[in-house]
Amino acid sequence: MTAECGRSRRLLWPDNGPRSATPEVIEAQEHVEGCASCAEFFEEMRQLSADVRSSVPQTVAPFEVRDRLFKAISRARTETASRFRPNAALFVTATSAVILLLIFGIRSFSRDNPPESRSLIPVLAEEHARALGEAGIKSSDAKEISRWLNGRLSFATHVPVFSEASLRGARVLEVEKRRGVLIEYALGKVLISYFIVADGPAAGAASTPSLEVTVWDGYRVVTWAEPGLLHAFVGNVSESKLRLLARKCIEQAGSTMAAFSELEPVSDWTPVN
Amino acid sequence: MARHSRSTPTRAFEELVSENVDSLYRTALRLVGGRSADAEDLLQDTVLRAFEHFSQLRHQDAGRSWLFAILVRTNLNRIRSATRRAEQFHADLSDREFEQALAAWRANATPEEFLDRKELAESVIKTLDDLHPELRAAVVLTDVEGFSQREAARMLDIPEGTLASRVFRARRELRQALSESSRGLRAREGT
Repeated sequence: MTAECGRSRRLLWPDNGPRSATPEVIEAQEHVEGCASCAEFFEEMRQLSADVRSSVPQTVAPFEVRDRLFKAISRARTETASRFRPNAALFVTATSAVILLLIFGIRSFSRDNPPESRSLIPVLAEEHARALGEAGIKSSDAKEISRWLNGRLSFATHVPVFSEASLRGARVLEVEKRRGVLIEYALGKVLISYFIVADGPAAGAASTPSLEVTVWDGYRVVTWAEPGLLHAFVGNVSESKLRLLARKCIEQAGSTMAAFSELEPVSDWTPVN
Repeated sequence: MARHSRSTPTRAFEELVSENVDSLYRTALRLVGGRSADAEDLLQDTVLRAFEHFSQLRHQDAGRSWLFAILVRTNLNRIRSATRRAEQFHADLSDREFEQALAAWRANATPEEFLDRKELAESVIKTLDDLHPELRAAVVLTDVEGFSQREAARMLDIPEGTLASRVFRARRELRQALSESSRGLRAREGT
């Protein structure tokens, strides 16, 4: 058994599908052809895979489970439909409310808090729950993280530093076809994620951001907007702590506004060949 | 994969779910360690999330893998929420570590030689249920549901190499458990 065995087995790992015939793959194939130990390895892998496949019973969903599932879909459909079919009284009320909001200058509020931002909250909460992963940097040095982010994003990013929370790292992510960054902090034993996500064109004058608080999947989410960017803090801590971090973040960022350019959209979910 | 009705999105969604409900339920059952109530809960959560985002699925041929991606991610998110990332899965192998583990593999007498069909299946199921959730998801998607490792990696949002090392580690644990079962059986027969 040699290091060559390990390398060949990794390169020719079964089930990885078609692979390019690179010189190293050809070399690995030549090794395996002459190595009884590797041949046994691949045979055993195939056998274990077959054992797993044949051992798991081909269970079908019981009738009651199907029934409850499709009833739940039906309820969801009804709820969705009812949201879009208001009755006359609701229509009058809503129209009046819209007129009043317009009168009181809601346009400014809307510019800073676009409705699309809300739809990002579930995704941000989900991203928060994930580990930093391989696509990121683990560091407690704000400058190092800033350098790492430089060139990976199309907007200027300020990495805030807090006395009450320690910096852990960052990663770049795609959120609903928008490029963004997650900067992670530890507040005691609790992890907090700070997101900055490209969110529409950078046009428009900056005004004092207003903080919005939402709870999703058990996490508190504090969001605010500036032209071209959505900011969010997500964590399982009190609203006051998240608001405090958000306010400090806004203060530190000062007048840093988005130097935003159009981004390539991420590819849609397509079949993998 | 059948193409789904374009008449209404809801109808198309229900057809997609109906075609895949058995395999989704089966996978949910394995992901939650065989607890049927939890499997149903996970399945329902998955399907409602999928319903909410169905308009984002533009390539309906990818519907099956899209549903499975939501299922495994919903499950892992639940687990991570419960543990609040206190037990992050730091143990993924680097390429070098993976190669060392692969090189260290020693051929064994196959457990099929000592275990009958029923004993083998019971051991496999028990080991699957005891695996770390990240390893379990990798092996269930590939070995049980037959997704390619590329598809499974995409569903779990991890590199293909990481997926391969997780499948390998799952099989290594599986072999270990099967070997112990067959040793136990031989010992009982010997006494």
